[in-house]
Amino acid sequence: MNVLRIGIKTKRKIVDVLYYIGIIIVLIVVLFPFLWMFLTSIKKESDILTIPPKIFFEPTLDNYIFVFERPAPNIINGLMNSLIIVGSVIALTIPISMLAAYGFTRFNVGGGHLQFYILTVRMFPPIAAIVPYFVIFRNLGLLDNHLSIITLNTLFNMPFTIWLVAGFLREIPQDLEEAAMIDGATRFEAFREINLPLIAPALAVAAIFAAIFTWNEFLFAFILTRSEAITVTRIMAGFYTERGILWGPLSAAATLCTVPMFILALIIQKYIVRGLTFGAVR
Amino acid sequence: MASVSLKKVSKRFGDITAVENLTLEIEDCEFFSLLGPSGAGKTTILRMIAGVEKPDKGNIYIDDIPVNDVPPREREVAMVFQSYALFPHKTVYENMAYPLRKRKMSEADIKRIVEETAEILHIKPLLERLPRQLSGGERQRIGLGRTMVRQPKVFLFDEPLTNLDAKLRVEMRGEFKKICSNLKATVIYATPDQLEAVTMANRIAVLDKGMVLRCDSPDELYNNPKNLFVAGFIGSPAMNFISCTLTEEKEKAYLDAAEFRYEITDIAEKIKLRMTGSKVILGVRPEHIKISRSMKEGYVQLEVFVLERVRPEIIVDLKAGEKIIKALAPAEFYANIGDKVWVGFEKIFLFDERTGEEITGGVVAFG
Repeated sequence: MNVLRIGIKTKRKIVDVLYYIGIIIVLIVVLFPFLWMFLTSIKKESDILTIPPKIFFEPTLDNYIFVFERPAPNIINGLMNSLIIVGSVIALTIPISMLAAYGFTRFNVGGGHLQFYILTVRMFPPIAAIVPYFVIFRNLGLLDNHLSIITLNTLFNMPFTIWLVAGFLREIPQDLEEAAMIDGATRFEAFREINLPLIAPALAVAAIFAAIFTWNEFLFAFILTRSEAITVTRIMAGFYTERGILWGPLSAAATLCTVPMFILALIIQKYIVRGLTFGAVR
Repeated sequence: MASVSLKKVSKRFGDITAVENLTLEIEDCEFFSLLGPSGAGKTTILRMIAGVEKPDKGNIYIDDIPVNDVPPREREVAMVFQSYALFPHKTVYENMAYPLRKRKMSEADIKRIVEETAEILHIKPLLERLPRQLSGGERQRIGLGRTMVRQPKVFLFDEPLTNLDAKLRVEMRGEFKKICSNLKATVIYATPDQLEAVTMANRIAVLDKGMVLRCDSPDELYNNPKNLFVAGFIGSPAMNFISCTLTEEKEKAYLDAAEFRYEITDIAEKIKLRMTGSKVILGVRPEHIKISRSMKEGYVQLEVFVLERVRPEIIVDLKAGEKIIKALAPAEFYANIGDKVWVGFEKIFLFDERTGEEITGGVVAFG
């Protein structure tokens, strides 16, 4: 009996140890590029491209100072613009997708074909349409304008968001909103008071996906912005100069660029976990 | 408190006809039951009365006012769903308060009414819980409570007891009836269980494939079912059906089944007038079958197949060819499997095999 119990205990310990070793390996693989990026950003230029790589070196903030002191449009403009664009895209994508998903799931708008058509927008390679988009926005006078980037990012984020939210809405029994409507609510009130709280985790997940896609988006920003609406990704591309790639400042900019998404992920983290395990309404 | 009527209402979902040319008159303060197997259109009828589904054809009236274009919230009906449809993110209190909040009542009034209702339903200790922390029976009460907090004209119940376990179902059935008789409102109760319908309702509409087959009091449906479907649906254990041919010999008439023949000379003339073919279906309720161990006049001999002791009675399964006939015997009855016994029918019904209509014009009593 005793022997058996000890056996089980040691077995569990071994499993635990293996479990943590596994996690550590995954973490090393995932975090190593970030570490490399961060270390590069605090190295002097002469320390960056040495072989073998220098593990011990004298840290410096020169790269960050360089990045901030560049003439406008610099990283600060880029971060500001990207934040404005991401905020606007979320503010547009979420309400529109939510209502669209409601229409698709409750009224079967377009008999499924319309929803599929919208999803195909996501399958479509954006680069194929970038020239027409350029012409359209030039004629509208929206080149180098936040509006054009916000419009395109909203357009390309919506299919996924609609699909995600529609999946959640389908899980919610229609009885619930009907009960609310019989009890005195209008359809919109029933949606707001009954469905909305239940799909909130899905909306949080959708929001963070939209934020990441938009924050990382480069193609539209590269073609459609120059200085006024320049995004952080476009700023980073600016470190590929005619006198070579400025690895130090590029790494510093990249490090700064990950900070807002890191903070966002921390805030929404708990919703993602809840959102992905959601489904058991009853 | 209101009458409800449906006039020539039809509803289709794609290729499926849920309700076909349905006309129903439900009177004020009546406990009315919609009885039928699943897929008979019961839920669709309730949903149309509630207003969450629109009829394709026909009109629905509440208190003689056409309500086809009135949104659910203005119809003053309340509905308990089969799934109970409790709001999972709201506490029991908030679930029950929801209809009152929609009516912009003061917080003090809401509190008073919700607590009074909770008192009646014995759910006061549950008010601060969430629906997922409750058992099926408790959720069922909350669903009922949410309809009782306001005074709707019509209560709609969609199989409210179906999802409960057998013991709780019997318990809630009595309680339901008590509560509903105190509501003093029109109640429309959909159920697939004939026992629920006959024990609670004043009148029952028997539905099949979206059509009303019969609409009458439980007694009338039991005593005079008029067609095969109703006869088979009302009563438990269900009525036995035996396919027979009507044969005549030496001025006597017999029902000829595979295993036995049964004399019906007295009513043969009446039957012949209404028959469309030569085949009839003999219907006998288990409680109208008498079993004797010795031979008796007019009795037929059958073999005991199995005994089901349901207590206080015994269901005796008798073998008639390929068919099993169920009979209800008193508790003292005993027989071994395979014994030959003599069986007499106290009351029989005869149905035309082709149309399923009853052809005797009411019950036929013997002996």
